[in-house]
Amino acid sequence: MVRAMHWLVIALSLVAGMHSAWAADIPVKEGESIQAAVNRAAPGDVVLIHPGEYRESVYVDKDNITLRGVVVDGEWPVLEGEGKRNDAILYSGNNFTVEWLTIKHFKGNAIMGQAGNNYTIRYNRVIDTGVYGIFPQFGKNGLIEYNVLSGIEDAAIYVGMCDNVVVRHNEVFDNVAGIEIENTRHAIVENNYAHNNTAGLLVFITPGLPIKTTYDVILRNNFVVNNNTENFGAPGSIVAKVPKGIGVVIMAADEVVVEGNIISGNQTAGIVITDLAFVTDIASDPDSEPNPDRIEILDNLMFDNGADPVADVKAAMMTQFKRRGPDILANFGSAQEPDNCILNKEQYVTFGLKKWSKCERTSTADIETYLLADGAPPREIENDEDRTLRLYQGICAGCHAYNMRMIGPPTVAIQALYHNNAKGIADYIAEPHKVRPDYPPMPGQGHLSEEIRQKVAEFMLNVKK
Amino acid sequence: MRRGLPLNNSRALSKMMLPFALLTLVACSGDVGPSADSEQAASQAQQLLATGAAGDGKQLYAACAACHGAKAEGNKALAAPSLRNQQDWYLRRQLQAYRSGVRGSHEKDAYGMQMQAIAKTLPDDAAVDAVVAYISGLGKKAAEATLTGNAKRGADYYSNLCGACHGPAAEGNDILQAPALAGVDDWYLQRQYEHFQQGIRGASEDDKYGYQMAMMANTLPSTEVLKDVLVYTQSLAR
Repeated sequence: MVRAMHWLVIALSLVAGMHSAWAADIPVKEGESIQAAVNRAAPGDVVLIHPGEYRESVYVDKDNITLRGVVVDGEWPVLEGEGKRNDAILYSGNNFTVEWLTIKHFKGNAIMGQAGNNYTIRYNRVIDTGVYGIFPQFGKNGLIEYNVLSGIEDAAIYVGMCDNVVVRHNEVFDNVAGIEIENTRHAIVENNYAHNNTAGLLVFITPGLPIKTTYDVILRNNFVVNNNTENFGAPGSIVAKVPKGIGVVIMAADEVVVEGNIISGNQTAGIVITDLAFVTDIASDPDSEPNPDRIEILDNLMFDNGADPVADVKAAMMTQFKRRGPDILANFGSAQEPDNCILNKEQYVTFGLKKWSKCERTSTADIETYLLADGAPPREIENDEDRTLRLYQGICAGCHAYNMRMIGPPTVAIQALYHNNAKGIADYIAEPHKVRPDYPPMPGQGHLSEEIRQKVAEFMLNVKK
Repeated sequence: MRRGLPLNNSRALSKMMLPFALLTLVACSGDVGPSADSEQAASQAQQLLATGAAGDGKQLYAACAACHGAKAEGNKALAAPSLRNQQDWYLRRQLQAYRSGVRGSHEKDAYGMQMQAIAKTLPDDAAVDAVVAYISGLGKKAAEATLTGNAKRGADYYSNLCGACHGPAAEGNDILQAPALAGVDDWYLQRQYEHFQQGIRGASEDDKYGYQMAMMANTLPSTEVLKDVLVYTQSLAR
C-alpha cells in the first residue's frame, strides 16, 4: 500500500511537472507586438522581448506570465510611450513577473498592477514616465527590486493598498516622491538609494480609499540623500503639496520603523512625522485614523539636514531659536506623544520629540522578510460582486479617492455628475476624453466588457467613504 | 462626512470674526425677503418688458438694469449679483431655467421668484439670446470681495473638491456646464451654496446641473470653510 502511494505521488508530480516542462518561451522581436505574444501565451509561459523599440501598451490579464527583456551587448528592449500612451504595462493576473525592460515617455504608469497577487518587478529602467513608475495596486505579496526610476511627477515606486511587500535595491531620483508606501501593511523598504527627489521615502495614509490603514513598515539601510528637487507634481494633487527637501515622510501611518539609513543633505528635514494636516485639512474619512502612532526611530546616520527649510518648518524651528531645519521633525496630531520612540535622540537636531520614549528594541535584524513563503492565494472571484470589487479597488481607486483629489477627481464629484447615470460612466470610461484642463486624461478602460463597466460604475455611485 | 453647517465656536479665531459675522447678519437680514426697493424695481422690470416690443439686447437690458446696475455690475443692497463674470452660456441657461420654472419656484427662494417672474416676460428665445449677448459684450469685471476668511484653507478645500468641476482658477468648465466662480459676488455665491444645501435650489432632478451642485453642497464642513473657499475664489478673479 505504501509502495502504491509512493508511485502515485511520483506519477502526480510528473503530471504537475509536465506543465512547467511545456511552458513555452515566446520570443518577440522588434517590429512584432508584445501584446500579440501575451495573447498567445498560456499560464507559465515566458515572453522574451528582444532589443528594439516597442510602441504599445501591454495588458496582461492571465496568471503566471513573465515578461522578460533580453539585453544583448547593452542593447535593451525599450517600450516607448511617445508622450501619448498612458501605460506601458498593466497586469491583473497573479504570479506576474516583469524584468529587464526600459520604459520611457508614457503619460500614466510604467508598470501598474491591478489586484494581481505574487508579483515580481525587477531590473527595469523607467525614464520620464508620467504619474507613477512602478505601481502595484491592491496586490498581496510582491517584490520590487533592482529598478532605476527617474523623472516621475508623482511617486517613482508607489505601493498602494498592498500587503506583504519588499522594495529593495532600487535607485529613485529626480522624481517628486521617491518610494511611497500608501495604505499598505507589512512592507520592508531596504537598501534603496533615494536621491534628488522632492521627498525620498514616504509612508502615508491617503483617506477616502477602500483600504484605510498603513502599518508595520520597516525602512532600513537606505541612502536618503539630497532630496531637494522643486515639487513638479500636478498642481492641486496631494503630492504637489509635499514640501521639498525631506528625506523621509511618515504621515498618519502607524508602526513604522526607521533603522540604519543614511539620511543627509535634505534641506527641510531628515525625517518628518506628522498627521494629515501636513498636506491637507481634509481628513474626514471616519475610518482613516489620521495620527502617526508607535513610530520607532532606531539608529540612523543623519547629518546636514535642514540647511534651508521651507517657511513652515523654519517658523516652527524659530520657536526653539533655531534657523536650521531638524534631522527629525514631529509635528501635528499625535506625532509628539510618548508612544513613539527613538534611540540616541541626543545625536540629532530634533523638533517635537521631548516626550518620545526610548525604544526597547535596537534592531529589526530578526525580521528577514515580509514576503510570504508559500505566496498568497489568488483573490477569490466567485461572482460578479467579487469581480466588481476587485476592479474598483484594483483600478479605479488608484486615482479616485472619496472626497479628495488624487490623480482623478474625487468620487463625490463623480457621483454628483453622474447621479442615476451609471451608464454615463460606463460609456465614458470606455473612451474617455479630456474634460478638465488641470487633470491628466483618464486612461481608457475599453478592454473591460460593457457589462462589467456598468457594474463597476454602479459600484462607484454607491461608494460612501 | 459631516452634514449641515455646525458653527465652530471653539476657536479664538471665530471670536475675532464676530464683528464680521454681525455685519453679515445685518446684510443678510434682507434674505428673509426682498426689500420694498427690490420689489419695486422688479415689478418695473416686468412692466417694461411686458409693454415694450422685443427690442435689441440693449433695450431689453434696460429692464435688468434697475437691479443689476447700468453696467451689470450688480447691487448688493438689492441682493442682485453682478453678471459681468458669469459666462454667456451660464446666463442663458439660468434665464431659461427661470422661464421654465426649474429655478425660482421654491417658496423660500424669494429673489429667485422675482427673477422667474421677470424672465417669463422675455418674449422668446431670441430675446434671451439678445440680452445675454448684450451683457457679455460689457466684458468681464470682477465683483468686489466682501468676505473674510482663511484663503489657504479655502484653496485646500477648493482644489480637492470644487475645482474638479469649476476649474483650477474657478474659471468654470463649459464641458461640465459648471459656471465660473471667480469674480462673481461672494455674498451671492454664499447664498446660492446655502440654497443648494437647504434644498431651496437644485432639489429637483429636473434641474440636472442644480441637482449636481446640491449633491456637492454638503462637502464643505462649515460656514467658515465655505467663506474660506469664497475668499480663495475671489482672489483668483480677473
